[in-house]
Amino acid sequence: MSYKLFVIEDNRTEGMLLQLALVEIEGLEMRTFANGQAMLDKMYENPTIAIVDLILPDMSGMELIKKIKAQNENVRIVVVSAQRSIDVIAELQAQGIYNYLIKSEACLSYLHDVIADLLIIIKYKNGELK
Amino acid sequence: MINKIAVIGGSAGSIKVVKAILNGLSVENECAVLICLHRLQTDISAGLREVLQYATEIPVIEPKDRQAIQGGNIYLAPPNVHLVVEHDLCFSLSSSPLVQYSRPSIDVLFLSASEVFQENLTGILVTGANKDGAFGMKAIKESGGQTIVQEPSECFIDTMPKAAMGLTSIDHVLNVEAIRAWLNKYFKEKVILRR
Repeated sequence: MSYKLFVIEDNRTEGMLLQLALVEIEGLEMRTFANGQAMLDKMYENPTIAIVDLILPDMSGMELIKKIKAQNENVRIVVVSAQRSIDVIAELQAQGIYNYLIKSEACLSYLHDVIADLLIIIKYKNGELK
Repeated sequence: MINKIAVIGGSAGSIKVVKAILNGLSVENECAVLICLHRLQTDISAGLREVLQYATEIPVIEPKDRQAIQGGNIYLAPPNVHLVVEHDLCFSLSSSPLVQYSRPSIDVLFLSASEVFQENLTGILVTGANKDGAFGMKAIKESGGQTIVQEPSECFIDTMPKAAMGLTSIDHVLNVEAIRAWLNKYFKEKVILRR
């Protein structure tokens, strides 16, 4: 079974880096969108995971998270951001995000591990793993 | 007009290997070689370029951001940045996070080059201790390019070529001398065809 991961990325290099970071995770289908609205327009495809930056071309990350949750509260949202404010992270947690990664030299490696572990949990819950 | 590109990636033990490939290599005016070798994060000196330049009379260049790719040159990924080939045949340098624990990342160079040069690209992966470059070789193969790995028994550490062999089909498994001979023929063949 394939699980959809939605991500907003309008930069070719950053998109390649994400692809390289996640390519070896089995059963993951990555869809890249240019902005938040383009992602929201495809929410009917029921993504399992969404990766969200707090700064987006057309809306704030917080606004996007609220809209995603309003449409489908089961989407696991992973925020990747340079923002280190405890208040911001606390507000994101209150919105029910799954995980928060601070941008760093090693964040793609962390992201790989977070997504791989999350898929294992989801597959286990769905009875695909024992 | 550039019509043949070779990308070379390597890690542990690769400086000696790449020097041996460059020593006696002829790069025609329509061709270029792009090299990405893993370096220590702390190595910000320009020493590697000089070491490779010592092996060849062809200019070995560490490109600047937005520098155009010109035929007859050898380009080396600078330390601590990803080297990306853009569709307008320029390089861009990116300080984005590490890929496969590496920056510059072989995968980033190979993947970006495969999208731009497609069947006019040959990927060469030599000795190394991680699997950076394996996905890039798969992308090159899927774009119609050719793939070569260093004969694993000759490698200082064969993890890198073997990772590529496990992920995609490899056209040629060659020792260092044969890689250089293959490249010389490859670069010359295209020029003869164009004439």
